[in-house]
Amino acid sequence: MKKIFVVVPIIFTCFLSSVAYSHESERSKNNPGTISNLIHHEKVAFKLNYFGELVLHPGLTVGVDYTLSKSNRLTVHWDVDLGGYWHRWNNTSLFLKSTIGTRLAAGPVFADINAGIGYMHSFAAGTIYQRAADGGVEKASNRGHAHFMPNASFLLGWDSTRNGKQRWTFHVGPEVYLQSSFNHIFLPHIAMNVGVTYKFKQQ
Amino acid sequence: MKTIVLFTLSILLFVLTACEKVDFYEGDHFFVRDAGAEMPVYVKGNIASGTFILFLHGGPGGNATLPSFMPVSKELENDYAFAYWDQRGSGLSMGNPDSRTFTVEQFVDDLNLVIETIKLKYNNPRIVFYGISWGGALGSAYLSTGNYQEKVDGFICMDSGHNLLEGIPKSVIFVKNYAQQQIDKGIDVDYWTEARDWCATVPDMTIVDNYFKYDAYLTNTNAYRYDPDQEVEGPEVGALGTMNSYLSLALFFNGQYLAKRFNILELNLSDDMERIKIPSLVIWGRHDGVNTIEMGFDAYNSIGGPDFTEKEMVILENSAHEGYMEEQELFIYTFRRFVNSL
Repeated sequence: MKKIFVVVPIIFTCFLSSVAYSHESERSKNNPGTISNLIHHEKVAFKLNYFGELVLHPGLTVGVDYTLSKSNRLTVHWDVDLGGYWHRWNNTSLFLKSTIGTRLAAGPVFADINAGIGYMHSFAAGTIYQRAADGGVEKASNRGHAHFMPNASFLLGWDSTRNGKQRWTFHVGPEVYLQSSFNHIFLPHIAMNVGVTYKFKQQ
Repeated sequence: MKTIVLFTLSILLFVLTACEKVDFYEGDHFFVRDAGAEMPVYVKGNIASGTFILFLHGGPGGNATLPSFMPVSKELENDYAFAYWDQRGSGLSMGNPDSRTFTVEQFVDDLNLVIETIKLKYNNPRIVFYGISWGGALGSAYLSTGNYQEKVDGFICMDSGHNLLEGIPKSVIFVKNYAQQQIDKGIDVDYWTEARDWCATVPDMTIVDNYFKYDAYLTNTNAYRYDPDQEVEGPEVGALGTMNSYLSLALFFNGQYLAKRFNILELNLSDDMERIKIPSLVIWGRHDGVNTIEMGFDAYNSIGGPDFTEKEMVILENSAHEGYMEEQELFIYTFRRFVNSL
């Protein structure tokens, strides 16, 4: 039951995302190279992000930012990020998350509010011992634990693409996310995001 | 654009190197897995001494991790290795252990696994229990079980909750007396009148709701710290240390699920403790309102029975439940004297 609770929302979000992408790819179906179309799509930006759990425990995410709608000041975007972090002596975690964000721009400066869900897999950061079949002690395998990962972030950034010459945006800001189930609770986490996005093709 | 890239790389470099700061990562660590829980054990101090102090934290639902950052711990780590084990559902423990595993027997089994792992990893060192409050009760339960005490060389039992069935009613009287004192002083009269009158009904303290009501009153007394205004040396880890160590927010949130489901209100190990035949030090705060001094005498009398002589009791005359901080120097002296005598 818990797995269903985790997997269904993720599949649903991915489904919505694929519908959005297929809608766009219809327009360019006569062009060769689907991946090339994606990379060079004007609504697509690629992300590289430092993800610091409790700020200083290092992690990294890579992802795609897809613009769903855009007006002069307001942009709604959908992001998918794959990442992980290492909290020494505590845990190592990998995650895949999907978020919807609203970006409010004032010139090149923007504020971005994002919310989403994800799947997280955490591993104890150290050797695990367990009771052996013969009654002694043995090292155990470390398969980790599966978690549901709702998340929200607030980013401030600089969008150099608005002048039509540059292709980068820079962002920084906090993220809160929950790890469930962790001892039967939603365990809160705080992280710091510092990253860039890059567009291969300008709008 | 180059400026942005350089700035980002600089931040990345800073945080990557910051996490390598060694201050909070001295020693060793491992995890034990048992019945759905993955529990960390942090080993610090003088491992070469061959004496491991296995710290049994309170609660249930407390943690061993924060006490490891206390000056009193660091002082004693000069002489001995300390093993700080976060129990299931507590501290930095991971997993999703079923609430049916929240039994004294399961905690004893977890503790046995911790001991055997330490013996395996560190070439069979000498092990001394240092249990506070619930930790003292857990140590008592372990040492009373089968021949487990053969694996342990000494027992420091501090302010333990080994017999809550008889102990909590005594603590309720403590709350009632404290409430009367506050009323007499004219302090928060309505609140303390309500507390006094409720305690005067002699509520059944095996009922969980009654326990939590009493506990809410108790935390507003000086049951834990005899002089609440005393300056003590608590854990030395600030916000930056929290961000730059193995600590996590789990410390603040773990234990809540366990505490509501692990019912030890009818725990009474006094008779079982007669089986404990290893050298023991019972150390108690004279003014402890959580586990009152009468329960200290009960622990002392129970361990090994009336004819057992390898035990002593030390009363910290100016302490309540946190004597390791309230009378730190006397505590350290007593601790060393006992362990060195083993």
